[in-house]
Amino acid sequence: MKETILLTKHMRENPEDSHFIESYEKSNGYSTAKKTLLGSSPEKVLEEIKASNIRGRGGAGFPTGVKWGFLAENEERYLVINADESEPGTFKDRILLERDPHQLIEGIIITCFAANIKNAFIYIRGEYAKPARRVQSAVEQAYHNGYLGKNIFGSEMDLDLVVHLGAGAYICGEETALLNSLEGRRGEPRLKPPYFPAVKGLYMKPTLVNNVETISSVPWIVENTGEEYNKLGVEGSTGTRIFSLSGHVNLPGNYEIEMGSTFGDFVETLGGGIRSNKKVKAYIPGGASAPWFRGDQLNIKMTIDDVANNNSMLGSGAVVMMDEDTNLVNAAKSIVSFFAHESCGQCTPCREGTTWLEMILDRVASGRGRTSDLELLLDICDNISPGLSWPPKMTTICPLGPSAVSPITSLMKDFREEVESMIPTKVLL
Amino acid sequence: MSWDEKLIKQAKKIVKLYPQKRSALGPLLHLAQSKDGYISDDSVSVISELVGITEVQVKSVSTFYSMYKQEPTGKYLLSVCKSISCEINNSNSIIDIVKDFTGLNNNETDEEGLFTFEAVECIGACGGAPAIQVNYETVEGLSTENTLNLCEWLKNETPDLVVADELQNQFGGTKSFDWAIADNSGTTGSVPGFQTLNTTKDKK
Repeated sequence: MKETILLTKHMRENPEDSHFIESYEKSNGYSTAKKTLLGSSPEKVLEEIKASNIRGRGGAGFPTGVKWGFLAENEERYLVINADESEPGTFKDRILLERDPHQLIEGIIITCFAANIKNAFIYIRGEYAKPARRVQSAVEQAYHNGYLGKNIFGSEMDLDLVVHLGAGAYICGEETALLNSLEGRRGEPRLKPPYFPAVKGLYMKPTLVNNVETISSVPWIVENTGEEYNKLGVEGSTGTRIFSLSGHVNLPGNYEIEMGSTFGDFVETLGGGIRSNKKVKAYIPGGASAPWFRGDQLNIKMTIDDVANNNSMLGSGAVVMMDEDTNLVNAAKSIVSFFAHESCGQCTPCREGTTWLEMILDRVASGRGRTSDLELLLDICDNISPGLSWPPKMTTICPLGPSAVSPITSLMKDFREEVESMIPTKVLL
Repeated sequence: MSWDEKLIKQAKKIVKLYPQKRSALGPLLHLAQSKDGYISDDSVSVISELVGITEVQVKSVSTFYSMYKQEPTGKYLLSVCKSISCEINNSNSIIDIVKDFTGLNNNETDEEGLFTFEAVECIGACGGAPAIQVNYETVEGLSTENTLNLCEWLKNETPDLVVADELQNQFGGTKSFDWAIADNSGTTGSVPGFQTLNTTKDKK
């Protein structure tokens, strides 16, 4: 298989200076935005986005055109770019922010034109200091050239864009937590309803919250038409997508591909296979929140629907390969610790449950487990996510708690023997 | 108010960036940290006046986020990632090296105020696992040997400006992706090297 290069084209062709405005303009950058603002209409842009059938690249995979269509009428409306990329295994927005910030800004201009928005924010996670610097300089350059501010490209359109730095909270990737954070509050997800920020979002005004990769795709779609974009990939998973590949592979990295080939093909060709020719014991198809697949399930196709039909999710597009020597209890413990650390603390099942899961996994991993621990783990999981089904049911406001359940149900379903083998059979004195 | 005039001016500019004052709280807490290295009681009081909320509301927010430090950190904040991709690529051995070298446990600062060590969750460097951030400047593809070299270098050279690209070239290995052109911007002090600048409103 080969990569299909749309989003990463400019940065690949101009490795020396892709993040500078002069370089981006040389690659015809901002020409799509200019044409659109001067000669197109918001309705036309929305039509193209709908025709492209692009689905959100943040994790939930919600159709972007539908989301834009929801945006309620109001004088005050906002666009918030979710650049709080923190899902373990994911580093694809980082490359877009660092290497091609102007593509994102152009996408923001077009999006705000389509949605009649005058204030936009890019919420970047605090740990992404270098990407944030790059984006901040790009925003300054764009202001300087008249691509942001008043009367953009000489049109009637005004747009202000603020780069907002987070401060280390994974939960702010959840859109309502992100909005609370941007309002200067604790990053706690909001109780639903209201279900959609597009109706009540930032300051309770209609707000579009979109992922970096989604909005970075907008200039290409508008330039080449939604119909062309829709031809790439497969039905339900159109276009290209940047997958972050990590773990025990020879060639980890970001790969832009059309969705539809198998995980096995992806790892063997672009990923260069597993290190030392080892076998895959298990892999994570879509970030730490996603239930794992076994090594004998590498023939599953990399599409949103195929992965969902196999009871997991393509999520943020983060693929983590674990070879045959991996201690899966330690791996699960790492993921559960992550969620225990990142729980915002609002909901008891998540706040207490994730911490208990972490403690129990820790004693199993260190050889102090009890035979009753396996059922205890599942019982706690059931309190967070009743029935342990997929997609998960929740006793919590947001899906963070149920995400901590994923690695444990994966362990118990497919690797129970490995867990049992770590429980001492004799009483320890 | 005990922030100097220049800082207050900068803070007021940041407040103006937002449709509602309270939104400036996050950036102002970063600004407070760039002054003191942590969120001092004094800053809490200044910020509460600037955004028009109570001191306890400011504290409630500042204690929620892990990057707002409640006490001074060392000159170098060493954050070793322990999330899944790093974990299965032996981040434990990197953590051990840093702990041994600094003599610190998680979230501790040495007496000289040189190093603070923390084991952190995913820093988005999974393709270059295991990875570390020094004052939020990322170094990827670490070996245990190079981690030790990095710590020693910081201790001996004590650079005021920490630059990701410089550290990566000297001590890093496999990267998550091609970083391309070297960047000489970095950070001074143990807070993110990013300034919320007044890029909007004022201009144009």
